[in-house]
Amino acid sequence: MSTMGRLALADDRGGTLLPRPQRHRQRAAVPLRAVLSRVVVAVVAVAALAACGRPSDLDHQEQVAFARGCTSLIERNMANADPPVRELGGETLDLRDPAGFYAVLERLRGPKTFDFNDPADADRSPKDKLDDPCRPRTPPKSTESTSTTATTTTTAPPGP
Amino acid sequence: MTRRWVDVAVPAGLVTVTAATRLPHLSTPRAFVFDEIYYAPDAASMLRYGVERGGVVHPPGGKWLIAAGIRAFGFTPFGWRFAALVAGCITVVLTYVAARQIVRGVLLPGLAGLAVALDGVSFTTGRVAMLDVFLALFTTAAITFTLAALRHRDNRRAVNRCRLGAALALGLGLTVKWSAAYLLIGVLLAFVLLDARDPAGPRQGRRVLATVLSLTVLPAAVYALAYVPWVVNAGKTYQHLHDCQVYGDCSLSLANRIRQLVEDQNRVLEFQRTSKQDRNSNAALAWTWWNQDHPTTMFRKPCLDAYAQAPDDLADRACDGAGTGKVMQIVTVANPVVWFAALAAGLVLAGYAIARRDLTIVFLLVAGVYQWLFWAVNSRHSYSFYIAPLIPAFALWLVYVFAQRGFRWVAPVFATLTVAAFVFYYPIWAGRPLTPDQARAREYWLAY
Repeated sequence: MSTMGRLALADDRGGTLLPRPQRHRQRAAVPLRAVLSRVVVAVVAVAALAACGRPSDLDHQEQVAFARGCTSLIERNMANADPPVRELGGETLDLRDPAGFYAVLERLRGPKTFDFNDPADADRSPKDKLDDPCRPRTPPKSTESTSTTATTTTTAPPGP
Repeated sequence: MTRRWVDVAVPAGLVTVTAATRLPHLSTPRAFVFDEIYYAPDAASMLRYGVERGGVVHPPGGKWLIAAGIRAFGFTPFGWRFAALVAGCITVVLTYVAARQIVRGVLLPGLAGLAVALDGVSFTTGRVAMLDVFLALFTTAAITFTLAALRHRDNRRAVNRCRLGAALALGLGLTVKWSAAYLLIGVLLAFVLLDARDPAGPRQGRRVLATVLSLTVLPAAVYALAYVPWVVNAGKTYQHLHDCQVYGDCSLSLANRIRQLVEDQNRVLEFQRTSKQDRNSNAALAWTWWNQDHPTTMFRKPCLDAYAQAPDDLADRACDGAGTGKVMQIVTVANPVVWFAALAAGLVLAGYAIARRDLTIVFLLVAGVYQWLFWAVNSRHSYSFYIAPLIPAFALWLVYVFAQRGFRWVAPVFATLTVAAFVFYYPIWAGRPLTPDQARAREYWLAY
């Protein structure tokens, strides 16, 4: 007998391991046909669900999600800065004055800020589109840390 | 009667435990975690245009699943993470089903499912809109079908059915990430070996040929099907917009669509070939994964009292209820009990493989190391959470060894320690704010 044959024919020997079922005598531990058909049905159902349109207010939801993502990025950028002051879009962000800080971000934010569906911008990844407008700069004539934080990801995808 | 009740109760219990531990705070943070910044917007683009926009480095299958969650619950953190939650629950149940192919009863298979449910890599990847949990789902399905075929090796019809299931699962896996191909090689070899045990003759040759064809053509067909929306909507792809704007080639003939698809695939291939290790502080070479000393910090935010004043439409709520001094982080690192016990079980299993020459044991070992070995010889940048598809196989290693005489006493000890480790590490897996001392206590051996 070949090595392959011996390998394939070896039996389980552990006390609580399953013996190989005799042909047509023992029902399967799981109904394989049912499992297979349910997997196929589930995949088709998911595809159908995804294919049947989009949420009615997807544009608005995207803007809110990106505004939160942008704010989170800025907060993480400034959390360890001393003093926690940065510039963004010509305005000063100062975390020591939270009300003013968020008022500036509200002002800076607008429908155009997070337009992720502009065809002219299609070559840029979502990460770049979020990072670029959400990367505050250290104010000029300042001596504080100049480190910045971008979104943490694996790596930027390549261009075309 | 009792058997039937147990057959339902154990999987239901596993789903309940998995969902109950992963569902709380699923929407936190309300910001993109790690590569969610790519996949969630890509999924939204697919709902909008039928294709992704911008640079794409993975096939569309996983992103379609994320899109289904967004379709159901909107472009919210819950919506884009929902599919991962469901995939994680199914993976746990599949691990249970796979374990039932190799050990008796339901307790040890239940323990296998529990080990996956309470592992840190499975837990964290099962709560973010990334692709690894979907890859784990489909590779675990392929492993399950292969183990079932090995168990029912004398029943040709059952083997054929399992081969079909494995081929479809691997095809779906390929539509998520190309690395599913690594497992395909192992599954193909297992089925060819099953064919080889039959008496030699023309029928044996036909069986081997049928196996090779079904495990190559079918996955390829499933992969091609996943790109049908791409070809249909080629006019909205970046590839087409670029060609149209730059080269004036705005043709939408079928030939042009296919050409642009081939270019897209080449672009993905180029990324996989040229993306090297030095770009990201979270990257970890595969040979360093064994002790988990370079886990991936997917999200980290030092908390400040000021964040409480953020208006709702700007607040990420990462630090909800936590003031200045605490830190919120999501770290993808394995449950140490599951991880190191599995490594030890792997050594025992290797000994059994040599002593018993059992194809099931050999396949179990392959299923647990394929992703690791291929990444170890690949210079492309890699991350320790790439082991997500291996965790179910590790759980199978564990219960196979626990089922042996001399190791049965270990199972209850393992279960207890796994739960204890889960409770301890839960805050850094689920992103619950901790004090610096609490966070330091959870730092992992040589890590950081």
